[in-house]
Amino acid sequence: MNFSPKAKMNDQNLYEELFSEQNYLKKPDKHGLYRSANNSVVAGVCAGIANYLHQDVKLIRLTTILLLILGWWVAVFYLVLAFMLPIEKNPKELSYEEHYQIEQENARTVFAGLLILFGIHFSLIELGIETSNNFFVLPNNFMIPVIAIAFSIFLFTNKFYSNYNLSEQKKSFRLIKKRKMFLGVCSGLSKYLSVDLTSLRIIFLILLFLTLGLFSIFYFMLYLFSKYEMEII
Amino acid sequence: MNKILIAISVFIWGFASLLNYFGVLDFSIENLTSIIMIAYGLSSTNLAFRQNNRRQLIISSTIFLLGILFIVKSNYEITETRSMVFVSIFLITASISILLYIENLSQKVFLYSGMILFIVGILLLKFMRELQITFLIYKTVNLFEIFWPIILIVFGLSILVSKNK
Repeated sequence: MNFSPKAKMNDQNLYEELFSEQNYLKKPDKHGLYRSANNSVVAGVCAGIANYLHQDVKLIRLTTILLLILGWWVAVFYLVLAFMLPIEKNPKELSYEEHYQIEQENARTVFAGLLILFGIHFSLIELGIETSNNFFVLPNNFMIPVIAIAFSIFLFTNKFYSNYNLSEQKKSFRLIKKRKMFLGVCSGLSKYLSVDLTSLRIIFLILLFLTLGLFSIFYFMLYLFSKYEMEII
Repeated sequence: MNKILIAISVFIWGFASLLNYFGVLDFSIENLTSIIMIAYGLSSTNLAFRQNNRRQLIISSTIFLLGILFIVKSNYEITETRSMVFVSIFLITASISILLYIENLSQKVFLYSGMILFIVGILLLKFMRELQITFLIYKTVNLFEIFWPIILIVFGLSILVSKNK
């Protein structure tokens, strides 16, 4: 830490610059606990907590989802925070592309988190560890619909940017040599459908296993009737 | 728009489940969920066609077809549900493939593969017993039933670890 008068002057200037009337309106609220206005899946609570604690939002979001294994109280606690916390007053202005990227990343995190959560939940059931059927004194049959209704209300009030890249969709299906693992069908399909390559490969493998390998017909059909993408040198 | 559709579907599901809980309506949750899946799948597929959104198209058509599968399963007594899973994979993939062809008529590859999968699915449905592969299907699905939570965890972790391409 530098406590010299010159450094103090610099700090003073920086402070004035940051909190001058014009700039203050543009700066995001970082000191209090707020719901995030431009990084939200349901209500922006996780992003708000991540901003407050200076942590990665992905980590906070994943932890929240995984905490659901302990009971539905986490969802209720989230909703209480969503109703109680104020929304960020001066959010950082993001471009349409940035919004879209944040949304895609959030979708990946939530999807992965839910898969892990269900995996752990059903593993516990397989091991004979029963989860509680009641939330405190209220039964799950009552609590889950209430949570679903609250969740839908927050979805209604959110702004999403899901259709950003529609004009950039590939016009034709081509196999891709560059990212291929076997014949390049999955990588081509993932580019054509704008879906995650790893997820697509795992889904293919599961379907292959469930159909005793017969699903490979689909894979080879796509390979036989398609061409490889031209490589730009 | 798709998020609004999800919100409406979740709201209707929650509201109807509450009414069911208080005894105003009387139906099983499985039935309600499959009806909501069918309704969401249909409207979302329509929306996906209008917006030329292929990813949404495959997700929503899968949800619609799974909804039909669940409603059939919950309303009718089917003795061999495991064989049903086996054939459904072919028929659902064939339907999605043909929908992808309808979305982009220049991509005949999806039409050919869809038609072949349909034929394979129908042939399997007809000759499954003669081929005597039912016991193999039972074994595979049993194995899957034991390990599917681990598959879910691995699936989730691989999405988290892999880079967004």
